[in-house]
Amino acid sequence: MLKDEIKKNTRKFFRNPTAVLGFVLLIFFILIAVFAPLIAPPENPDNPYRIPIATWSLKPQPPSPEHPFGVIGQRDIFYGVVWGTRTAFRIGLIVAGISTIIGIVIGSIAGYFGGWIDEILMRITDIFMALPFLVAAMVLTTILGKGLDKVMIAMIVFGWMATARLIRGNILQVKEEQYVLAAKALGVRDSLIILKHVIPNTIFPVIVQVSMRMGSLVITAAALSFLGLGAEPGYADWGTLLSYSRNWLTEFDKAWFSIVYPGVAMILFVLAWNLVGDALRDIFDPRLRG
Amino acid sequence: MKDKQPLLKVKNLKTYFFTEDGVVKAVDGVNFDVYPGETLGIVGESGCGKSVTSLSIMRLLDEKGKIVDGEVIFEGKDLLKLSEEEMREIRGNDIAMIFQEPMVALNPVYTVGDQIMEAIILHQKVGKDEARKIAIDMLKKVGIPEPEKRVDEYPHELSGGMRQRAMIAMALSCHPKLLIADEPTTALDVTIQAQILELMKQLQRDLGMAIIMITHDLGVIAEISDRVAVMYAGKIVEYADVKVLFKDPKHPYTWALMNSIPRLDIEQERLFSIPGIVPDALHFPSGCKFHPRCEFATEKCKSEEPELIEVGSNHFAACWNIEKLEAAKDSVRVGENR
Repeated sequence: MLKDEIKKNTRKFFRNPTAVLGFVLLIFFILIAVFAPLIAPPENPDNPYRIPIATWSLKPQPPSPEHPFGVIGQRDIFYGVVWGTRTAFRIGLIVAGISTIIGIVIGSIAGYFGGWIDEILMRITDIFMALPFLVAAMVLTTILGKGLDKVMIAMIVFGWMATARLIRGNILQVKEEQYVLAAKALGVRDSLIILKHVIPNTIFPVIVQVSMRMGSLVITAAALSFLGLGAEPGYADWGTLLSYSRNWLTEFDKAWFSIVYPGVAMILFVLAWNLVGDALRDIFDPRLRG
Repeated sequence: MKDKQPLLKVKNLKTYFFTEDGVVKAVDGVNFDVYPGETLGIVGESGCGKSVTSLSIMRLLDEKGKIVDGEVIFEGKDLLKLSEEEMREIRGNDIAMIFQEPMVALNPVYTVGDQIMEAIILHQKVGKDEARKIAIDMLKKVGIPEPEKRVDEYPHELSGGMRQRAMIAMALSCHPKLLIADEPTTALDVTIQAQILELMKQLQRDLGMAIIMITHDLGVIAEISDRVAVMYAGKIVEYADVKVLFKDPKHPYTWALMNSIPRLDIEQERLFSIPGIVPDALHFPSGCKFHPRCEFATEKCKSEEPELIEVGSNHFAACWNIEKLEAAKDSVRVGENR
């Protein structure tokens, strides 16, 4: 039964061209991240995330056989893009993972218990949502200090609210469903009802939301880096690479490669996660089966 | 029927909802018995407390609803005094329930079979394969074609009637002694309604369970019930054998309900309807709760609430003016010139 189901879903997955595209893109990025040391061997294996200085000239250098994506701010863009993939995955997985867990815990406590617990937790959520994200993140990174880990903390602290609201709303809705009452009428215990009937009906939107957020988180991190709040200069991160091009914005023809290569990497990364998120929803949510 | 022991005896049941606006007396002193193998119909308008009565028996009220008084005696045990653990053993096993909306009473993420098996595994302590066999057998019993295939289908792949059949299969999978059916046919169209009622009657004959049929539909009541309790505003206002009730209603509310049924045998300009609306449960009228809508109401009705009194053999009604109703019945033949 289960085998058939898996087979059916796999077949369905591969019949959907956009899902396959997203999946292939994602595999591509995973391969780059895993084989980064082979694709772009680090000069200093102890600190591979530091982009080695390629030249002492401050001028950007267009792509050449030696530096296939060009050079900006004395750094090799190819190296930055390759090792930046690892950074992107790290930001996405850690921030999305931890903030989603926080959101699920807060949201499900609020939704399941209701009453004043719900009231307090949701007002706290509202307060966090009322703060403009970029300003709040900037203030927090200023307090915590510069660095990628600090940015991730800021993104977690101000990034769990959407999940909390989503899961709370879903639990409130599912709690009232007749199949929950029907299960109770059959003598199923509460813990089993939450596990078997409530969670499976609430978790799909969260899974989809997580995979969609994986991509957008990388954009946010890049935005913070671009504003000078993210990783320190020279760190292999797409946003940091983009921030080098800030000085050359008026002379696009001289520095196009510093925008295009990290930019394209970022766009494809986000696209991959969004397409995979869509595909996951199509497959996992039986309510959309037809 | 009187000499048998009742399977379920509901005594002076009072269920109140404590809301921010005040106390809602949804069920306010209800008494009835259900005997093994018979069908008791509970009929009333929406909001009269018939569903709350059934949820109270199962102890499935939400946190705002409280059973403040009364006893629900099932096979000699007061269900209201059992622990949650003991109550769970009874739910699904001894007393099962089917619901109004077959569309939403099945969990969309599990196959029909999974959901039927859940109850079987829980109460009959059998393995998965055995439970699956029982589930397929149950689906066959409720008249679902190709049960071996349907058992692996999701609820959305079934039609409304099929889903209600699956719900019935689920509820009956552990052979309960009592089935509470809360408007089981309301969401279905008429032909399917008739099929489902026929199925329930047949299963009742085969399995010998008692049924409490909750509905607002007098047609359904006439079709399936042995005895009927008519509820109005949280109370039973009339209680009788089904034939007696339809032939000789003793409460003005029942009489008015009968008159609101469209009839094919006489010419009717307009269908009779009961004037006024169901009273707001927060502000029930004083005295007899039906008096603002009753054409026989007197001063006494406004101040004193009538109790159920025996008006015939096994026939009870709660009204001060039964003679007036009888006189009206004599002068106007029911359904004509109204």
